[in-house]
Parts: sequence; C-alpha cells; structure tokens
Amino acid sequence: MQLKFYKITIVLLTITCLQVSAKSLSQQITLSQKRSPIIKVFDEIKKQTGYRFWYEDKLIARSKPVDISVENASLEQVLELVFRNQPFTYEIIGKVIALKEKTERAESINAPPAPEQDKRITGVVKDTLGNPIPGVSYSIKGTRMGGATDANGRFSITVPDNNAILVFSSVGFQSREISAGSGTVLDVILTASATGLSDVVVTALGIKRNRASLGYAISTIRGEELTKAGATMNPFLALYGKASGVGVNVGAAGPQGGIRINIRGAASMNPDQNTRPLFVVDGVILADRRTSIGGNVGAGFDYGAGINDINAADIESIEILKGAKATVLYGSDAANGVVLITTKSGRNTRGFGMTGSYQYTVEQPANYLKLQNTYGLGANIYDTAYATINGQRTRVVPNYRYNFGPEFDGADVMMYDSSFVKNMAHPDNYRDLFQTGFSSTANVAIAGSNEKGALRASYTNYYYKDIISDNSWQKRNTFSFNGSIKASELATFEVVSNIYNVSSQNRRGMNSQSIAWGFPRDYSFDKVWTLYTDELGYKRDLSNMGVPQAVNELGTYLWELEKNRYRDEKVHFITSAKVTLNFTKYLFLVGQAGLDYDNTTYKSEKSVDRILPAIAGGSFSAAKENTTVQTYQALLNFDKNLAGEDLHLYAFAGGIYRLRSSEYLGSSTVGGLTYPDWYSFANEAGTLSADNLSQVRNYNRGSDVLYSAVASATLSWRNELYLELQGRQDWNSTLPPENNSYFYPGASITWNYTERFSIPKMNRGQVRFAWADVGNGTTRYFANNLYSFNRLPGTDAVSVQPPGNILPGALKPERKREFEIGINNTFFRNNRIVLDVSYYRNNIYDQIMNLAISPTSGSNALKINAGNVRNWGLEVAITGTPVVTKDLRWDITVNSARQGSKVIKLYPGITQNFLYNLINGSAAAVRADQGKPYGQIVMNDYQRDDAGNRVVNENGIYILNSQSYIDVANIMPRFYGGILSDLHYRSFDFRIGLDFKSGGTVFSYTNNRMFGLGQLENTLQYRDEEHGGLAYYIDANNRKIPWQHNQPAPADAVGGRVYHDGVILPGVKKDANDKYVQNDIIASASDYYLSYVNDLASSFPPDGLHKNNYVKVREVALAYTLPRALTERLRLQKATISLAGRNLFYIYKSIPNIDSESALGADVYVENTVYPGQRTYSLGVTVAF
Amino acid sequence: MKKVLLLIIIAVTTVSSCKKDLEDRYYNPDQLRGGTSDIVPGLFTQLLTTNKIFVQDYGEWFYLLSGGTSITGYEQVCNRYISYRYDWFSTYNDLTTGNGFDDYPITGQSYFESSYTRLKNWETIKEEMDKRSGQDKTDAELYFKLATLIKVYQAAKLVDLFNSIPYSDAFQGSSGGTEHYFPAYDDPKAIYQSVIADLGELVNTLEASYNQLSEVGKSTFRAQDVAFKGDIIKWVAFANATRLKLLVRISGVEEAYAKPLITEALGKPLPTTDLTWQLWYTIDPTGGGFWLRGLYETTYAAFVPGIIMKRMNYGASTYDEGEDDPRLPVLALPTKYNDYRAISYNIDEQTPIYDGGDRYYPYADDIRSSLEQNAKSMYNHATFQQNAQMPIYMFSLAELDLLKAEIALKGLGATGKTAGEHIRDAVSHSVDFWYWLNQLSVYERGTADAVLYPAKPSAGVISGWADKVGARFDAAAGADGKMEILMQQKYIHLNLLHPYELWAELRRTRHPKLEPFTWRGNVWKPMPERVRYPTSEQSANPDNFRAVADQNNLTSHIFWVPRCLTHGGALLERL
Repeated sequence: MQLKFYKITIVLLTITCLQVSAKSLSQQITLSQKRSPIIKVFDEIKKQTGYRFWYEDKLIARSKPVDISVENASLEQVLELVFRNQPFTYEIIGKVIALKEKTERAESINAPPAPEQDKRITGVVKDTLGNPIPGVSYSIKGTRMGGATDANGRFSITVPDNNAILVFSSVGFQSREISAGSGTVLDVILTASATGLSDVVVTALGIKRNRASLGYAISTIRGEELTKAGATMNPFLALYGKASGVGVNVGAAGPQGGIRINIRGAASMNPDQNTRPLFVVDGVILADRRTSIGGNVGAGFDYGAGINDINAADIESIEILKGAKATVLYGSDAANGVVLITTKSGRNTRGFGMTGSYQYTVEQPANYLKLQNTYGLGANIYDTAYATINGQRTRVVPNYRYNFGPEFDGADVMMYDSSFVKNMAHPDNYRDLFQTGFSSTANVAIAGSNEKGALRASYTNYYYKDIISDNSWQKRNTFSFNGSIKASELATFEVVSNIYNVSSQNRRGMNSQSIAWGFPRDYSFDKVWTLYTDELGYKRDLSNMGVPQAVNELGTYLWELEKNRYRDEKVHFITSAKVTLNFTKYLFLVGQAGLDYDNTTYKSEKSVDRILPAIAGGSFSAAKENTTVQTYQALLNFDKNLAGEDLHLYAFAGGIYRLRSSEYLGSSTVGGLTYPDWYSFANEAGTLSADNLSQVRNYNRGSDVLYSAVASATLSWRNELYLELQGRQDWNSTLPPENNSYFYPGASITWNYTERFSIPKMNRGQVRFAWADVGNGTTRYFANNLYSFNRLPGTDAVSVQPPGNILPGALKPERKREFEIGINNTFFRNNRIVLDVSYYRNNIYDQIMNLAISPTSGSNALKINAGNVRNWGLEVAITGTPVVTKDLRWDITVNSARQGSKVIKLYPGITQNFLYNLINGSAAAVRADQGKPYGQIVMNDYQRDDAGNRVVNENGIYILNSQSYIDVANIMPRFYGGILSDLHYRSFDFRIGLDFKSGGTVFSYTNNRMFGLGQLENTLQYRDEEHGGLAYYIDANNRKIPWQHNQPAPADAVGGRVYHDGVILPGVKKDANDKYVQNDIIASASDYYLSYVNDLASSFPPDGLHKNNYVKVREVALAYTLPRALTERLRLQKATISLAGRNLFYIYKSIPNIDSESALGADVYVENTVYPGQRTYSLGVTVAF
Repeated sequence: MKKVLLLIIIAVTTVSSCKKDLEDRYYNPDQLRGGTSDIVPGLFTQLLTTNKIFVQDYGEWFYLLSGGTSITGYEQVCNRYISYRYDWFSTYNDLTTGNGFDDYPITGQSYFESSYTRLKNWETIKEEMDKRSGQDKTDAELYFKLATLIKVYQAAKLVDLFNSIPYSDAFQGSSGGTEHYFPAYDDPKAIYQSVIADLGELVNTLEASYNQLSEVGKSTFRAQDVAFKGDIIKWVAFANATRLKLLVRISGVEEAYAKPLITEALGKPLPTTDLTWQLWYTIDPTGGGFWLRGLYETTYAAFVPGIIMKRMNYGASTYDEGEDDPRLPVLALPTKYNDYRAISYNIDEQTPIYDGGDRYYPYADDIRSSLEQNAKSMYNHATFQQNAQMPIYMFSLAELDLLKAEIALKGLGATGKTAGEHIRDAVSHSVDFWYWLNQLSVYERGTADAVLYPAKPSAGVISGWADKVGARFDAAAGADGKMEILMQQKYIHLNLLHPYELWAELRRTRHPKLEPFTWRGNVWKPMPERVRYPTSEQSANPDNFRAVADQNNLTSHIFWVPRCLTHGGALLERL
C-alpha cells in the first residue's frame, strides 16, 4: 500500500515539475514592419502573444525605428530582433515585457569580443577526507551566476575567462575562492569548520549572512544532525544538547505531547506570558502554545503545538537566535529567542535526484520505578486478611491502602472472584500496564535544479503506536514542496508549502490518582486487567468488588484508555511565497507572504458506562479549532561596496504585518447517550437547558495584530570589522491604543582580529559585542479591563461581572535590555579546534505581569508593569577533531550553558511575588521575590531547635513549622548542555550523543506518594531487623516500648506482639520541662513514611523535592554507507543503513524512580503521572538515486 | 500633483485603518466595555446568582460527598455505606495531617477566595455609585445596600468556617494601597459585631431606599431581583433573620451584647413565608453546573445516617403515619426491604452486614433498581438528586422557629411563645416545606409516585407529630436535653439543603450527639472544628497570614464556641 502511494506521488510530482520546466516562450509570431515606430511593433506583439510592454516614456523617446520581417518566430527571436539596435533592453516578468536601461555588461555586447571565449568548467567538491560534498554553493565572484553541487559533489559552470574567480561555500565548511585557470576540470577541497567563521547562516527574517559578520551567537543545527540517530516524530526531540543555552524537555505526554524549548532560561513573572521562543519555518511565523497534560485544550490532553508536525526529513537546518540583538528584527514576537527552520529545497541537487528512506522504530517503555516486593498490603505485619466464607475462615488477598502489611509468604489466598492464588509479589504489575510500541516512517523526496531554479517535493508517511495502548496512536502524512525559479535577472520567485495531515487518538491523560494509590504488588494485573469491565463489557462498579482503591483507580484509567476514543484530526498548512526583485545590482526588493494554517477537529466518543438496568453515561463531543498566523513583509535591500572594495554597506528597510487569529467552537451531548456505541448529537439523551448551555455552545475566539517597520544597516571594513545597527518600530494590538507603539534598537560590533594580527596556531580570532533593547506586548486581551455580560435566559434580567484583576492604569510594553560579548576562535590546521563563547546579561524590566495580591482584596492580582529581573549566562561551544587520518576522523562537540537570575525590583511597597503553587493544595510555592533568583521554591521547613536539629512530635515523627518559610530549591536549571562524538571510519559513522542538566528542582508526586504508601524500594529501610528496624512492643497505653527482636513479647504487650519496624529518627524532642533533648521515641516505619502521603496536606516535607540533575546517553547511532561499487551496480547514488538508539539510559540521575523528563508539560517542575520513560531503537535505510 | 494627492489619501487611509485595526483587536470582542450601559443592576444580579453564596456549588458537592470524609460525612448528614472495603476510613480519627478529615471541598474549591472575589461586584457597584449624583445615584444605592447585605452574609459564613478572616480592609483592592492589596486578618468577634451592626442598618433603611427609586429604577429592580422579584420586605426580613441567627450564634460567648439586640431584632420584620426562590431555568441535575449534579454524581455517598433517620423513624423500620415523622418518606427512599434503614458509623458492625450481601444501586438514574437493590435508605431522588425545580434556599420559617425556640429556651429574648411551642411550629413548618419542595419535582412522575411523591398527611397528623416532638422537647432533661432535640430538628429540617449551617450549629452547641466511628476495634469521636485557609493566602498574603498561621489547623475553635465546651472534659462528654 505504501509503495503504491510512493509511485503515485512520484508520478504526480514529476508531472508538476515537467509542467513548470516546459514553460517556454514558444508563441508563433509573424511580423513584417519597415521603419516602424517601436510602439507599433509592441502593439502587434501584444496582439499576437498577449504579452504587454511596460516602459518609461523617456526610454521610448530614445528608440530607433524598427525593421523586422519574421514568420512563425518565437517571442525570444522577435524580441532579439526588435531590441537589437535599441539603446535599451528588456526583461520578461510574467506576461509583462519590461523595458530597462542597458547595463554596462549589456552594452559590452557591442564591444569587441573578449580575448578568450566562455568555457565550461566541471569538477567535484570534496572534503578533506575525499568525500564528495553535495549542496556546495558555487558562483563566479561578483556575479550571481552559479549553482549548487549535486549529490556527488559535482558542479558545472560556464566562466567568461580564465581569470574568473569561483567561490565555493557550504554550511559547515570554510568557503574557498579559486581562480578558474586554463583547465576545464577543477577539483575543489573544502575544509570543515563546524562552527567556522566563514559559513553562511540564516539570520532574522530569513536573511542569509556570513557568520563572520555576526555580532551575536547563533546556533546552527544541520538537518542531518537531527536524523543521524534516527528520525524522531518531530525534529525537536533530537535537539537535546545540540545548541548551548537551549533547553529541551519532552514531558510525560511523550513524543506526541508538547515539547518545552527554553532559550537562555526565558521566564516571566506573568505565568500566562509566553516564554517559548518564536518558531519560524521558511519565513512563516508559526502559531504556538504552551501545553500540558490536564491543560485546557480540546479534551484536556497535551496536544503539543504546531511545531510537533514539522518533519525532520524535510529540514535543511535549524538556526537558533538566542539574544536580544539577534532577534531585534522579529520584534515583540521574539522576546524569548527564535527558532528558524529552513526546509530543504532542490538547490543542492543538480539535475534530478531522488531519495527514499524507511525507518522502523521500536518504542520501548523505560521503567525507572523501583518498588519493593517484600511486603504486601496492610497497616502492619500482623494484618493478614481473612474473611468468613461459608462459615470458614479463609485467607484473602488484602484490601488496604498502604503497603506495610505482612511479608509475602506464598500461602494460598482467595481473590475477589473466589479463585485461589499464591500470596506473592507480582513484580511486573506496573510494567504490565504498558506495551512496546513502534513507529514507522517512510519518506520519498525528489529534487532538481538548473540555472533557472530548483524544486523539491517530498512525501512522508508516519505511523506511531504509543506504549500505553493499541488504542493510542498517531498517523501522519506530510507533503512538502519547495520551488524557486529565477524568472529573469530581475525577478526570482520561491514557493514553499508544507501540508500536514495528522490524526491522533487517545493521547496520554492525567492519571495522578494511580500515583496517589499505587500499584499494590499483591495483585497481578492480568487478574485485574479484565476487571474494569463487567460481563457485558461495560463499566464495572469496582467499589463493590472488595478490591483496593488502587485497583479501582486503575480500572478508571483502563476504561478511559480502552473504551473511550479521544481523537484529534488536523490539517496543518505552512506555506510561503517569496519574490525577489533585483532592481539594480545594489538594490533589490524581497516581498514575502506566509501563512500558518491549522484546522483541528477534536472528537470525543465516550462509551456509555452501563446498559442495565438502563443505559447511562456516554457522551459525544466535537470541537473545531482554527488557528492562523499570516505574515506579510516587504524589505528593500541595498548591498554595495563603498570607497573601493574595502568598505561595504548592506542595508535594508521595510514593513511587516503579522496577524494571529484563532477560533474554537465546540459542543457536547448533554445527559448521556440514548443508545450505546452510536456517537452523534442525534443520540443525545438529555435536554438542552440554560443549565447546560455552556456544554452545548462553547465558543471563543481572538486575534492580535502586529504592524512593524524595520531597518538595518551593516557597515563592514574588509573582513575585519563589522558594525551593525538595527531598529524596529512595532504597533501591537495586545497593548492599549495609547501605548501600543514602541521602538527598539540594537547594535553590534564584530572584530575579526586575526585579519590584522597573525597569531600562531590560530586561524581566526573574533570578538563580538552586541546590545539591544527590545520590547514586547503581552498575551491577547490581557491588558483589557472588560466586563462579562449575559442575559438570563427567559427573563428581563442581565448579569454583569467585573474583571477578576485590577488594572491600575494603561499598560506599557515590557522591555528587555541585553548585552552580549563573545569570541569565536579557530585553532590549528584545518581548524581542528573551534571555540565559541558568549556571555550575556539582560534586564527584563517593566514586565507586564499579574502581581498576585490576596484574593481577599476582591481581586486576584494587579495587572501592572513592574519588576526588573536580571538574567545572565555563559555559553560555550567547543568543537574539536582529535583524530584525522586517511580513514578515520573523530569529531567531538561540547555545548554547555550556565545561567542565573535575580529579581532586582518588584513594585513599590511589594517585595514578594507569588508565581504558582508548586503542587495543588500545598503551601509550597514558586516565587520571584525581590533580591532572590527567579523561581525559588519556598516551603515550610521542619520544626528545628536552635542548633538546627529537627524536632519530633510525641509520636517520634518530624513536624513542619507552619510559620517558617524557607527557600528550598529553584525550578530553573543552572547548567546544561550536551556532548556529541562522531567517529567516521571508512564507510562507518558512529555517533554517541550525551546531554546533561544540573539544577531545576522537581516535585515528584510519584516519589512522595509512593514513599508514603510504602511501595518504593527505599521504604524497606527500618521495616525489619535486616533493614535497621528496631524491636518494640505496644503497651496498654498505646506506647511503643523498646524490645529485643528475638525475644517473645512481655505480658503487657498488646496482642502479645513484637514489632520489628521501629525507628528513632535523628533529632530532638521536647522533654517535660519544654527543653529540647535527644529524641528517643520509637516510631513505626509506617508512621514515618505515612507523613509523606497526606492527601490533603497543606505542606509537604521539604526533602520531598528532588534536584533534577542528570547525564543521559541520548543517542547512539551506527551508519554504514554501501561501497560505491555496489551502489553503482544497483544504479544508486548512495545507500546507507543505520541502526540507532535514543533515550537509552542515564549515566547519572539525581531523581529516583522516575524519568528525569516526566514533568507534566509546561510546568517542568511537577511530576504527577504514571507514565514510564521511553526508549527507542530504530533501523533505517536511505537510498539516493 | 494628482498622483501626490492620491498618495497622501492612500497613506492617510492606510494609517487610520491600521490604527483602527489595532484598536479593534485590542478589545476582547466577547466582553462588555464599561460606559456602554448601566452595569449596576447587572452587577447585583450576577452577585445574587453566583455560586457559593446562595446557590450551592457543583464542585463543592462532588468533593463533599465523594470520599465521605468531609463535612457532610463527619457531621453525619449523609455518607457512603462504609465497610472495611474503603480502607481510607482507617485514618478517620486523623485531624492533623489531612488524611482523615477532608476539607478539600472548601480549600480546594476556592470557597474562601471566591467569597471575596465574587464580591468584587460590591466594590464595583460602589465605585459606579460614587461617580454618580442625583436620582442616578439614588437608583444605584439600593443595589449597593443589597450587595452589602450579601457581603456581610458571606463574611459571617466565612467566620463560621475559618474563624479569623480579613474583613475591614478586605473587598477594596481597587481603591489601592498595600493594606487593601494585602488585607490584615480581623478578630472574628469584631467581624461578627460589625456584620450585626451593618445588618441592623440595612433592616432600618432598605425599604426607604427602595421607595426612593425612580419608576424606571423600580421596574428594573423588579426584573433584576430574580430572588424576590422586587419585594423589598422579603429582603428586610432576610436581613433581620440573618441578624437574629448571628446574634444567637454569638450569644454563647457574648450574651450581654447579644440579648438587647435579639430583642431589637424580634421587633423588626421577620420572614412570614419560607424565603426561597427559583432559578430562571430548569435545572439539569445530571449535567449542569448546579449543586445537585454533585449530589447526583456521588449518589453512592448520599445515604441517610442514623443520627437523622432514628429521629424520624420510631418503632418498626417502615414508615407508619402518626408514629413516624411525616418528613421521612419525602426525605428518604425506602430500601429493598420496603422499609427505611440508616447507615451506621459503627463500621465493625456494619461490615459483616455488607459482606453478607447487603448491596445497593449506587446511582440515582433508575428508581426501580434503587428500590430493588438498596439495602439502606438514600435521600429521596425526587426531592434531591433529580429535582429540576430545586429552589434556592435563603431562610425558612422552621429555621426561624428553631432560633426562637433557642432564644426562648435560654431566655435571650421575649419571643411571645414558649420554646416548646416554637418547636411545634418548626415541625409543622418544616413538614409543609418538605412536602412543598418534594412536589416541585417531576422526576419519574407516574412511575413510583408512592415512594417518590408520598401524599402529604392531613393537617391533623402533622400537628399531632408536632405535638409529639414538642412534648418530647418539653419533657427533655435540662437545657442540654432540650438542645439535643432542638438540634435534631435542625438536622432533619436543613439536612442536605444547608450542611454548612448545620456544621456551625453542631460545633457551637455540640448537638445532636453523633454516633461514634468504630473501625477495626477502635472507637473514635473526631470533631473537626474548622477548615484550613487556602494556600493562596499563605502564598499571596504571607505577612498577614503569619498572624493566624498557628490556628491554621482542623482543631482550633471558632470564637463562638462557648468556653464551657472548649475546655476540660465537656468536649469528650458530648457524645
């Protein structure tokens, strides 16, 4: 089926290409004119061809009469004759023939012929290892003539003379200039420069620049970097550790969910403010959103955002603009950095090429949960459970919440269904909730280019089955088209279009209840797996089954997953059209229109719960969400050498219009369904009323617009000094009309000092300095102060509700001022070491925020401009090539970033700023208090004596001090990055990628709750003699009296029992005189652990937090490229087989029992779901024809 | 020249259309801009109809009932059919960690915060009123007074749940100032006295304010007052009855202060009918946002406990007219045994019964199944879970009668009748009330009318029953014995309709005597005294919160609990 699809696709795409290239000017014209005014000839041509002429009167005034006599000639032939002796020439733009002055070169046609004839030069561009490099741009210096090498590195170009200079450049290589010379074959070797100075990078607004000229840091990730260790569901999953200062986190929602990308620790004091970077695909600004499990989109899943659809196979490169200066030109949208994605075009393919790839990936649950298998359910070891069955005392599987019961002893016990099983632990019961999933991706791409332009078309089919259920999947078809045509010297057109068709079902939902109740090892899940449905296949009322609540909760989880279908289907369209008009050699206009269009349908089909005695429950709901971002921009560019060759000016100015809008309309059945298994509004059992109106008519919408004027000028002195000045003026509809415009400037200076001094062993030395003061608006309608209004149906009464927050005055734009200094140096021959370091410091001030005030004021917050937060960071990227021999090359890259922040000032009279409750119903809060770092976690400390010892209560358990708040940790990571090692040996490529993070504390419900439940392996401590437990017995006054493990209980022991799980917690207690003395109170281990599980505790023990430090083996890949002899025999250009693993294991992680990345989504500091990590193994084949 | 002119026109048009575009998109198109209409009446109506003040809340009810360990469970108004299978009841006696008594319906459902933020209308009406003059201002004044009535009513409820709360500086954030952004906590007794003073003022001036309304103002008010349709006397009576209730509540700790004011209140208008009102729509008890949905979805936790059932059902477990409380069949459903059986808090006794096969139908969607399967009595599905015409309760004659009974019993004021006579009135009024309320419902009409819609007994039977209760009251030993009967009647009368009021009265009077909770050999009598403040206060108002942090537990008493009940053995004696 898939193969058939390919064939059809190839045929269709080929036809499209042929149609485009077949376009010619083959009209048949017959003309006979003597000494005719040129206008008359134009009229005749227009009549016969439909082509119109465009000219200025002053040109026509200089025209000469025309003599012409042709029969069935082509337009080109006719025009050649008509313009032969005219003092002007022409250009064809669409159906218009534009007259223009002859340029110098055009005039030189009349000059004597050149001493040497044009000649064709061909050759191959290779790297230092002799491998051909595809996609190398080449051109004749000083002209726009040129192209790009094909898959085998081949190029071919016609040069005017032997003195012509050919320029070769490619991302990742130092560019070279070579004289054409007298030969016709030219082999070129380019030296790699992983972060070299001379490569071309895409900067703001899609403008390509030489890296050497940049006064700020940009990280470039080439497309192949993203797929080396197997193509991921979307490219961002492969971004870990690949760019310094860029944090990546996929949450518990798995690869289908939102991916958190955070640049330079972007944070806001307004929890609703977007802190995600701006995503731009081929100049199209994407709609984006922060999501999390349990969020408010669709049916409450983490649906991710538009970037989830991007197809790794179609990516040429990703550039990450980090600092304020780099992003000035994007204005308000880019306050948190920009991720620029360039999709592949056909430019790298000479002639016609085709590639195909297939990859199969095993998606394996990676379980980090370590549960104990020694003790079963119960409150203490004597809690053996019995029931009286037919008058007989029968031992049964216990029904308790806590796992502090008797040791598993293998005895026969009766299950809820009267069957007998062994009393034993079922160590795989958690793991059994999950399955091994898989994904497959197949891609076919064809591409071609010639002097006139380039085309690429690609189709990708992707299927993913999640690890949680067969019912949980995603299907995706991606069509990508990229075409450009150089219609003439004047005009170039480019169209990029990506169509994504994505369907997903049953994404991972919130399942915090199972964490609260655990996975009792007493139960094997093959026994309870089927329990959640009754004999008829409907929902069983488990509360009557005599099973623990934990099983009940799992039943609900399974019912949701297996019986209900939550589907989202979307059509997503990212498209842009660009036209470049070269007015003169120095002046050109680039106009571009971009559209990001996303239309998603959410459908929920919830099964009826039961059909007897009457049908009950069930629902059907559907919602449509439409999101668009439209961007239109026109930039007039000026690019010219001044004062000879040494001084160069590149400047541009223009306008940009960006409109974002969204609309959501949803409806749900009310009162359940009439018949089971029929999901339709027609099947609704209830009656519409004012009470359920909100379910039936759920509508919201919004839009915001940004008008901008931008200007930029870069003045350079040779290759040595660059000065760049930029400015942007924004008019932003998210701000009140009186304050909606703002200007922000930016400036940078780059000095490539090795152009002036020669430093031994150093090839390039660069220092750069950048400064910018950028502005930002806020979220849509945040700055409004409006009332909610509705009419009470059926009455004459209206209802008005005031806004929930206080807006003391019109808001102003918020600002970020940043300076950045950096160096970029390369050392040794072939740039064996490249070092790039940036230091930045910014102040985000006048932040638009909700400053939380007490709700007892009547409002929840002040909407104000306040605060000044300082952030700083150091980013280091080192690339080295320790080994290069003929067969072997080893490259190693280290990216790292260290960041910090401090709240300098809040608001007059206010020094504390509450941001979020860390956990629902907890006094643990995340704050941004004056004088402290942003994101401090503040909690109640343990009660302590003056010496700092923890105090225990009369039961020997630590107590919290509800009046003291301490800074326990911080949610922001401090140090993170990655290490990539690439080994190339003959036909083998071997990669290992690690990434690491330090800091960024997480509250892990799993650790807290399951510690309290006695389920975690680490709760074995103190449980028995072997694990350090103390012996005691309980006397008639319910006191625990120390005893010996191996002695029978004394007479006054309650029940004649000796317990072995005593613990005397280190600390102090209050004695009868209210003095603190060494603690000697025996507590039971369960009492101690239970102090962690409080369902409704208003605070949690501060040691319930875990630092989220880790070092992870993120990717390992081995690729083998078939020998050329073999591939040629197979009529292939290239064939590669690759084997890869991703998310393999942690070398170190500080947080036990969970994957370091299992946060809920947007809030990366809370973990509260049951899902394991996910490890993938993939096998891929790529062939090029 | 023409071209230049054209260019200028195009430029001006573009700029002005951009400007308009920016302005238009600035505003949320689905919200009302101020200044476009008179928002004061709408602000009042929104305040009157918002959940958590008079209209009970779905979310609160869902969580109140679902676990069985929240207020309604501990006060024994309703609960699950508990057996050992619900192991979370093993921490029932825990009033310290949060594993036992569950205050999530209040703290987790933003009761505290909403009580302030929903009253932002009060502040907004005041600001609007202050901007006005003349008749416009007079027309706004009545709304401001009624909003004030709602504000003080809710503040007193907050004190009953939390004790100390921010009050005098609260509700005024928009006027600015750190003290209004972060209000201090006030002494609860001072708040009560301030509320009582404000209510007195309202009782004296509401009617005059109404009379000063313009004709248009009156007609608007009649439309906007969806509770009493502009009947200002009902508002006055409600204010006065609320005042009387608060005075009785405080009388145990401030008798000298309360007594003259009680006398004063008894001389002012009090309700002459039950003060309830209907929503403007038919309730969807199974899917809407009304509190009954919470009850419907947790019907398995809506069994009638013995503490109520035993005071209605005497003799045989069936309902016997004349011998049993006439309210029994409208409040409760019969079991599959065709009688009325309560759930017990003695789980050690109840577990074997459950394990022996006693089961129930856990939903309220199929009356036949409920009648066939229920081994214990649930609250009547027609009266409660499925009553699409459930009124909004504000005050009732029976509640007033019971207040007067206490006033008479304790000699707090002259009511004109004896306490016993008030008890008799209370019973009669309550029977009328519940039969009226039951008859509003249309659930499964014609299916099982005999059990869902019992015929109201004759006046003679009702008065006979009232006399029986009255006689029992008269015969009860001492004030404590009488209070027990009085509070039993309050439980029967208010039951699910006003559980927070019952909890306040239970904590204040320590009546009725609850059934101890017996679990695996342990006999527990836990008595939560309050709910905890929401964490938002610890987070957003930390400096002021520190002053009350030491009382932020489940066991500190509300100020109105008489000292004799909070000290020494009295507390343990209550059962």
